Amino acid sequence: MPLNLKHNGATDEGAKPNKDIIVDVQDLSVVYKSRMGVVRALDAVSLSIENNKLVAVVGESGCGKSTLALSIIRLLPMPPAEFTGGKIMYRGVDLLDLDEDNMLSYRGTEIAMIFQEPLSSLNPVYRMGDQVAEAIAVRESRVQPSLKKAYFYDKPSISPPPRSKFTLNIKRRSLFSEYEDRVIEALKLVRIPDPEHVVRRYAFELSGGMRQRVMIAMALSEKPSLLIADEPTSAIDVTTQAQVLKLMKNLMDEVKTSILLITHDLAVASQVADQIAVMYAGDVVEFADVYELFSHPLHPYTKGLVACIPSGFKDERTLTSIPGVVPDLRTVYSGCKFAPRCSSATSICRQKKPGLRYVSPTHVLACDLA
Amino acid sequence: MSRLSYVVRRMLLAMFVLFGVALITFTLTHAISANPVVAFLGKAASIHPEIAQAYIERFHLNEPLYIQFWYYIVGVLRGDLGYSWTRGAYVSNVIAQTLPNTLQIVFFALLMTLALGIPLGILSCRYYNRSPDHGIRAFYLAGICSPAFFVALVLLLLFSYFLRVLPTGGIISVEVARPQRVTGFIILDSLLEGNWAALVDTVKHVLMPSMALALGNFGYLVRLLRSSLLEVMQTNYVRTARAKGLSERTVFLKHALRNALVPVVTLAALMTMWLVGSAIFVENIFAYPGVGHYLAQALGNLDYAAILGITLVFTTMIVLVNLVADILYTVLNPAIEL
Amino acid sequence: MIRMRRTKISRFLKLYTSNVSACVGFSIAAGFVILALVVALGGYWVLPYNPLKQNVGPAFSPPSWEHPFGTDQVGRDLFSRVLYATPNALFVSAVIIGWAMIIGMLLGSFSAYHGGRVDEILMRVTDLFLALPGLILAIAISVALGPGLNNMMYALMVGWWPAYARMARGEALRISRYDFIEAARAAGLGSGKIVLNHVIPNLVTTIMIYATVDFGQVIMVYAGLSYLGLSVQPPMPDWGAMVNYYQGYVVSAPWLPLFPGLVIAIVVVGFGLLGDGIRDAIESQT
Repeated sequence: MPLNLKHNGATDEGAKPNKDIIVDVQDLSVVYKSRMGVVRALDAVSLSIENNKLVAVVGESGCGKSTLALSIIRLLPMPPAEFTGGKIMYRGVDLLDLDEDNMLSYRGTEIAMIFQEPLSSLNPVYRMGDQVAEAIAVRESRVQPSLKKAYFYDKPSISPPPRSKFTLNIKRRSLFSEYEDRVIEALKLVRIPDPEHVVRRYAFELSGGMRQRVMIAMALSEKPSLLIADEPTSAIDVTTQAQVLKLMKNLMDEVKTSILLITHDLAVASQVADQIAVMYAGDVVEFADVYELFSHPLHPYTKGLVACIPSGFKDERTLTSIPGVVPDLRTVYSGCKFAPRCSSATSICRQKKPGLRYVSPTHVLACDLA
Repeated sequence: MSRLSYVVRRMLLAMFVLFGVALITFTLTHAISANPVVAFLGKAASIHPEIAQAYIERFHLNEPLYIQFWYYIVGVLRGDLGYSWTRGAYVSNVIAQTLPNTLQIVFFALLMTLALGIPLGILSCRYYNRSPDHGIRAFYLAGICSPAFFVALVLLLLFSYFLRVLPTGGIISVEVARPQRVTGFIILDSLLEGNWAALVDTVKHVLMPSMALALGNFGYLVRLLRSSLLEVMQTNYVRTARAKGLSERTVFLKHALRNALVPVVTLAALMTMWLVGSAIFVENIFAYPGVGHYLAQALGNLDYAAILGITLVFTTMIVLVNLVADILYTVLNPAIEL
Repeated sequence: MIRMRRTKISRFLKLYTSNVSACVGFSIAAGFVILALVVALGGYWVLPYNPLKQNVGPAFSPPSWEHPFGTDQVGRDLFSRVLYATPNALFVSAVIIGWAMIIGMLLGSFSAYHGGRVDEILMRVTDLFLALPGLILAIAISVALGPGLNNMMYALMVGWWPAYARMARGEALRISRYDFIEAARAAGLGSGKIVLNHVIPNLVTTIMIYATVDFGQVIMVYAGLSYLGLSVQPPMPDWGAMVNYYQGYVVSAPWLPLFPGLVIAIVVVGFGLLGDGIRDAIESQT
């Protein structure tokens, strides 16, 4: 898991060279400008994702994990948000350098994303089959541009159908029927029972778990190299949660894609992740292989998080929690942001911000104490 | 099929409303004066008592109120709305002649409203809170806040007097041959007959009243579309569409606009209502022989049969339009529960 | 609590005054109200000329310093006439909106609170009225009652309240779900007191915002009815009626029908901007 840490003041000592990196986030900084001030959502964040691995980013609300996810696929609302530094290298290309048109060619077919609430993330007026077919059509049109058909209202090769409010499902059916087999295949891939009926359904007619599977089908049918999943299981019940996670893990092997999983739940991450990155207040504080992280958590925050997971044993009386509150992201801090809450903080911690460094070839840490 | 039951329920409601309206108009005829003969025949009643007597017998005015109401309803269902003494013809006949004209301008006004309102709504959303947005707002605000007769007068001055491109009134110039009456819509009839002179001439006459109506109306559409689009562009499914790799244009047209236009359908029904109301004033200014003009005339002369008959017809039209719009809405928005 | 109120109000005012169009709206609306009151109280003394007196200037004279709106065919000063008709507009709108608000709020809230049969009936009745075009209904009733300012007012009052009742009912339904209503009931308050003291005060703001924009709409409809001759009769001046009266002169003396129409438009725009401004300011706070 080599991170390119040279620019950050830290060193690459101990890193294993690896040609297998898909995404390399280097020193990324993002701010949001609002009426209340400038919020530093990401503060020189670094992360890397290798081929066919599942990296989970864990942290509490507001730590910047969603911002990180949206930054990679460049779907941040740009008027309030701004990139103030860093690079996002995708297979050697800096995504931040691209203009919108070029970035567009990466979205969907190289980097795909699924979101937290599948009900509001699916268009309520189109059927499931049509929405999945649309995703397949995007892939088709990119793979073979001459096939770009009239259901995209771009500079088309064929003139688009007359725009009428009353086109209803006629055009949709034609889009769908062309790709019908592949849509059914995609739904079968995500283990949806009875896909022939599901394709005719609307989003509100399906259960939460089914909707999320459709979202996954939609994303994966474009055969991306990276699938970003932003809290995909937070809106679903626990049993379905486990199913969806298992599905995602299996699909990763079947489809040969990498997954970036964003979650606030360390337990969820532990079930499926190969590597876990822990974020706090806009910084990545620890990044390690999953076994390493749980057996040797080094950052005080990580230690706190691991201790918070209820062990389920009967003699556990009280639930552990981390005292204190998350810092206000509008202020600039001179030292480690976790220092106010850290039981082992020293004066050095409060003065100098610790940079990321390698503790072992598979373990990166941003703390001066370990 | 729940949609079918919804349609049936809405139709029953519509009929209930129409019944209520008939009741109201009937009550009003008797509220006007104790002696409805005077009301309906005007001055003629005192001059020709035998006509008054015949009238009383014909319309059962001697019988108790509920029997009169029964006869009234039966009459209405058969299409008999009374006799209009200012025009010397049955109310239903006059309405049958003038209604197509009004429908012509209302139809063109609706088209113009859509043609003007949808692009401006989209632009307002694109340039949210910047100068084009403010400019468009000033424009449509002036439109919806000016009384219809004011807009009509301004247009009349501008196009008929200063620019001299459009005629000042009427529906067709005296010297142009009228087409055979097939549908009652002069424009359609001219088209069917191939009578190009009449077609062009009528269109010129129809243009200004339609514009006056549209200018007073398009603001509602712009306002609604702007807020609807702004809301839709923030939704999660638009974000998903972008994440799928669709171009901004496809996202906008296929996902955002399609959803944003749904409330516009309901608005269209309301707008038709406003257009019909404003048509009264516009037709009056342009002396355009439609139902509105007839109503204004009837008001001036206190031709009660005409006034109430027109009220009933207008209301029926509007109830029907609302019904169609409601049904259309369920088709466009499958998510709402029937 | 009072300090919270005070800061809320001052923040509202700051937001409101930062919006240019809202300030314009407020000035127009305030100007209209003040003018109407001044003319109502002062009568002829306040006006430059007697609005009914003929030949105070040459007939058909275009706008000038002496006659800002010009004179009509018998030499009456149009500006004085327009001003003289202002209190009518204010009076009619105030009464109609006041009536609609009060009846609407009372009926709507009680109906929502009680639910059941009463609520059903109210819903049907408001459905009926809302399905009818307001203008047409007002015309029909006006005709039945006869011309005149008061009759027209009654006609409009009949048709105006259902929209408010519907809105109040919607809000009241929402408010009735809150726990403090349950608490009041547990404390033994009768339904009348609950509705009056707890439900209604929470609806008042929403209704008032709507009423502000609606004020302009009433003036529009009133102008329309007046145009059709259902309000005051000439020679008494009334905005809509004046447009009708002078419309024949639109080509020869365009100022005659245009100025009354323009004044109507400006006042309606004023209230529209005022209402929009209030709504924007309140929404920005949440």
